Amino acid sequence: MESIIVRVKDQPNVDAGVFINGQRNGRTGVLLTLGGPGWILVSVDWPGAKEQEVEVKNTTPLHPMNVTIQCE
Amino acid sequence: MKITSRRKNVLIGVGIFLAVLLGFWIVLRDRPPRYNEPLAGQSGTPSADDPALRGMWPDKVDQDDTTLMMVAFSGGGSRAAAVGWKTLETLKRIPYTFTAGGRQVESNLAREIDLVAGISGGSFAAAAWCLCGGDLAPFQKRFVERDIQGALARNLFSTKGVVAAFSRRYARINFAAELYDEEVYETKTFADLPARPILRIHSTDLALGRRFTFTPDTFARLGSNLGSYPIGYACAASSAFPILLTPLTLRNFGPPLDLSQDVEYVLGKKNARTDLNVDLRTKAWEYYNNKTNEYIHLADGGLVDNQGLQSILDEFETKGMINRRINYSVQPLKRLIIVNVNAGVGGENQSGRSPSPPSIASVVESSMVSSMDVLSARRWMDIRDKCIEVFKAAIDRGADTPSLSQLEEPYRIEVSFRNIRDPELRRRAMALPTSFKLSPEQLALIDKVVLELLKEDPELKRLQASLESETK
Repeated sequence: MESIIVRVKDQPNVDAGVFINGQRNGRTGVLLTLGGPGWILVSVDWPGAKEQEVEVKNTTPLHPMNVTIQCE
Repeated sequence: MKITSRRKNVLIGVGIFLAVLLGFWIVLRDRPPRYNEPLAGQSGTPSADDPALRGMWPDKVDQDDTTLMMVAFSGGGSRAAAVGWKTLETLKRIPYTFTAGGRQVESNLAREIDLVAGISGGSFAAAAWCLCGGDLAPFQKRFVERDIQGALARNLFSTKGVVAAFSRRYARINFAAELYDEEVYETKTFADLPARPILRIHSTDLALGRRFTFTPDTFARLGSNLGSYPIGYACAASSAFPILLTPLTLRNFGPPLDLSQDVEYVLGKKNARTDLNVDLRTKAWEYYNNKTNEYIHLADGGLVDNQGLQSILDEFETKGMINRRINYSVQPLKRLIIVNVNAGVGGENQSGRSPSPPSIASVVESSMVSSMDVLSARRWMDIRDKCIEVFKAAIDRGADTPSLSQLEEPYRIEVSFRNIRDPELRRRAMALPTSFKLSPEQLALIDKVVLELLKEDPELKRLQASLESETK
């Protein structure tokens, strides 16, 4: 199990849906779990959000990977 | 040489017989069975966010949103179907009370099942539960208590048997599929399934040597519509044990999908080197996308996973139901319940007592059943490890992660003959046959041991204590 936290850049308090590999899979700002390590495509349900490909590995719930999504 | 009139008559008789056979062969050789249908006016995989397909929330109105419950039914012919049926009947008698929309709902534990996975004989119980609306009595009569193998054998000597003997497409598995479709599931198709529980019937793709699951997603890769496919046919594929029954065939329709636009495929290729499962999955998609592979031949699901536990493990994956439920933070997940219904049998292998090499039957038993049991045991341990990971995440981050804030230690309930305490009862249960026919005495034995196993299961006791403390 791997762990990430997704945020919208410069919008730390935004509560939006998170998409992983194109599917809705959680919300911004809270711990999200993944089945295992590997490359994933992350985006958020926020105007102008850019999809980001990240490699997630060696994370734990206490040390998740922080993913910041740029918006136009 | 002079041909006597008797010999002449014999020759004429043989000639007529061969002519009749030839006639049957000409007329019947291309008689097709019922195949899966192509997708009409659609292409690509179904919407990934379709609530019915993907396990999004909320649950059904009569289910508790804070509980996620999954059950896997193993293979084992009618024995497995009976063990599955009795387990569900027992879970139905366990009260489950919850609050929804400000009102108290009186329910039972079986109604909380969100996903049912079935392999071979277990697929019959899994499908019956999803279709029956809580009433398993018709299934008990039409399948559990019925001499299914007798009905199949009678078909051999009927018109269907004649067609199967001459057709190169319509085979023995097809009249088994028709029997299940017409006489067990009342011609219900996948479109007749409710949104919950989600049904996963597994078989084995013989070309790939890997699991084939009857999901809209898999069928879409074949350019086919799962909705119109009969449940009975899927159960036939799942239980098509090699040699006893022929494989069941599906059509693979074109045109091919544009895999470069498929996010999962593209990322799968990128992860292939480090994740062998993903590598095999993307290769399977490539195989289905090669439309010269016009036919997909399916055999018993037990050839690759005889307990359906890989199906539960998959739900811990990134897009799996368990993972997504944890990430779906609107409503906390309180209980994760996994029930492993294993109808596996087997006595002590005695081949070590003889200097002679083991018999063919013993070798088949060791290579196709015993080795699979070892693999299934490993999967059950993997599920335990996954549950521990999830629970540790709840301990470490429950305070600031709403979905994990109330999670109890996940419950792993096991119905398995290996857990029967009484040695004599265990020996008798382990000696039950793998067939499609059970005697009343054998059914009574299953009835007794399943009830005992559930009554004594420490995890079910822990769950019941939790449920009772909530209603006080």
